[in-house]
Amino acid sequence: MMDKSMEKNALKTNNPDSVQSLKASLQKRFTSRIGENLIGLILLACAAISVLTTVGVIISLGSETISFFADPLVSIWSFLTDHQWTPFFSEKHFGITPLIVGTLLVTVISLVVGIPLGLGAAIFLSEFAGDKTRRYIMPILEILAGIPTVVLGYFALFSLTPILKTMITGIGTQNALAAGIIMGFMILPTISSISVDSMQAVPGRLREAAYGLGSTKAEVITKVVIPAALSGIVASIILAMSRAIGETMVVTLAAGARPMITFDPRDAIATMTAFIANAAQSDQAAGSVGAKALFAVGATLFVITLVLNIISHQVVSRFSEKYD
Amino acid sequence: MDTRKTSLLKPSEHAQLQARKRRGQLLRYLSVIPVVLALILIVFVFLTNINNSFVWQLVKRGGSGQTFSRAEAPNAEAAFKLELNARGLSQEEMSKTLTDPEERRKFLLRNRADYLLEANGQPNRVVVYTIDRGMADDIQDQYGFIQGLRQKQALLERAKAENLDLFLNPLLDKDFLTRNNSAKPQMAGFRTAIIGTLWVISLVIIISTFVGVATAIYLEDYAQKGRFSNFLEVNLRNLAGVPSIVYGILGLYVFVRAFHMQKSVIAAALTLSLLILPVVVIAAREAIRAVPDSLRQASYGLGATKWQTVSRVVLPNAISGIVTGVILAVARAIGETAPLLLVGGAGFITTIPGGKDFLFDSYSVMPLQIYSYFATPDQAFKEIASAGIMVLLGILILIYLFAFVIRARFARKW
Repeated sequence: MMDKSMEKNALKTNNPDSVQSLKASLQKRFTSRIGENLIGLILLACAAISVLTTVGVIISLGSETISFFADPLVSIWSFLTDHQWTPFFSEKHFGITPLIVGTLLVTVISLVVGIPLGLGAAIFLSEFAGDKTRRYIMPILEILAGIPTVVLGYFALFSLTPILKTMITGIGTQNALAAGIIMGFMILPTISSISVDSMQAVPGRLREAAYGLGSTKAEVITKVVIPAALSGIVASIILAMSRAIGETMVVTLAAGARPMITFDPRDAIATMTAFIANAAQSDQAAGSVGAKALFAVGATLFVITLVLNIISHQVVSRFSEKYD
Repeated sequence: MDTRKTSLLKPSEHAQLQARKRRGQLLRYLSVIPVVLALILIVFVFLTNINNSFVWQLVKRGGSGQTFSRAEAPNAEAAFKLELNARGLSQEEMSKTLTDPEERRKFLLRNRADYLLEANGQPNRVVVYTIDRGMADDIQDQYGFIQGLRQKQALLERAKAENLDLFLNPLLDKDFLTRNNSAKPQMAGFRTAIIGTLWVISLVIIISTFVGVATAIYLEDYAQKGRFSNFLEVNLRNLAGVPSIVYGILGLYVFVRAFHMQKSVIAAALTLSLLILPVVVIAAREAIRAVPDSLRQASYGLGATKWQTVSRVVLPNAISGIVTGVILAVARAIGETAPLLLVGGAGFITTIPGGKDFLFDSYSVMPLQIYSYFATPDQAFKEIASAGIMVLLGILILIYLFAFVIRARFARKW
């Protein structure tokens, strides 16, 4: 029997060993393909976490905001038009205008400080600094972006404000100006790094053509490089603005928690982020209107920064000049 | 011959040219200003906090603690011995308290030796400050290092006149790093915050690296270019722009409330991981993209499967870029405060997470601890916060240096 079956096998193929090994390797292939697919699925699942994050943000902001507006004390109309924001007082008002104005005030100050600084740094790094200087200066500017915001917030409150007090009369212990100035420095790296990239992307022949027409270096920069890099510069400014609006610690510490409609940079104000930070620490019951107000302000903040980020990206992709 | 005469330009045109050149120089100098200002700000932040970390304190001592002369107690150890002796402990008890590690830790939680420049009208004394004997020391005044140095003489005289203790308190010393937090400014330490940060950040590193690198691999090597991968990219870009406090709201709603994690280590770690995820993915993608396709094709040509190619060819060659990206993102997470106000917020904590359920323990991290120091009404904590800031900044500087070394040493050019 044994002999016969072996003969049969031998008749089918000349070498039974190679059949075995082929089978084994096919088997291995098959299992490894299952493994490959499994790995692909795991990777996909990880990639999906970022989508889930977005879904989570929308659900958490959306559901509580809806129940905030469902409260009899609140209406969308009063949210948008009321001039007072006093969710924790006995007489509650839910008008977001003071928070928006406060945010706007600090953001404008930070842009007034940050745009010239950021652009100046970008011009220096892209046009004047040598490769070696750039390699040393760039990380230093990154450090500025890396200092924890709580540190800068206390610096604004305890170091910058006393200096400002000696120069400006009527400035409060907490004020929009100090917070805005420090935030201007915080957005400097955002503006400069993106602007440097877009200025470096301006092709050399444009500069050379301008030099050939007898331009000085300053004229090349201001009349050729900057206009050609404008889309990147504008995008960086919009992105910086979104950063400034979303920044929390500096404004919470240095600008205060007083929701006011004022355009005086010496006053204490409250931004949207500062309200959220303070509301998180107050002892509001989880289901109360005051606690829900936190989510409504968060939703407003989210929508504003999202719109700015999308605009910033659109500016780059629609208006950037393509040179081949 | 005058050069101006050989020039083709009229004198007026020449003047105009000179003016243009001058304007050009002006732009050059103007453009340096922002860089200089940024440098000044960084240096100023550091100097202020160093200055505040070494304070001159005028203290009205509560209780009737005894002081020792420098000759009797040349160091803290000797002062402790004298103090224990004065309390009537036997030689054995004394050596046990000071040498047994657990006993010693307990002892140091309640006692510290201070070198006083002026005490009870006598210069150069050493005192052992103890909490539980009800010696509620009252810090009358304190000055930063430089301010105090300038008016040292006046301070000495004031101490003498008002019978106050004057001492230069190095808030940022070894004890500060090894003591748990305390409600008494003299005994406040940073250990709780440092260990809290270690726990939270370790988890953040594990979670964000795994998910971030997997997402990057998926987008670069697995995903078919199409609507879905475009959607993922747009989604990541928008997430990168979401303010950090919104992540705090997400963490509060999802982790703290919906998943019942309460204000725990794991809730904070998950929130911070999601916060830095877009940054990790972007950095990892760049590193993976930098690996040339020829390497991948060579690997496929040898019969390797996709995962074999990714795990044995692509990742090893992209590792330095990935590690640098993760480190820089984690550095951001270490300094992040705003989202943790929502998912942690416990400012005042004197214990460290530990035990079997440490993941669900309450915690404090360095930036939160700094924030809570300042939030304390007791003014003395303001300077302690500066010491905390120096620890935080020191750790961040080490991390940045580490990242730059890795980038410089292991970066590969193709």
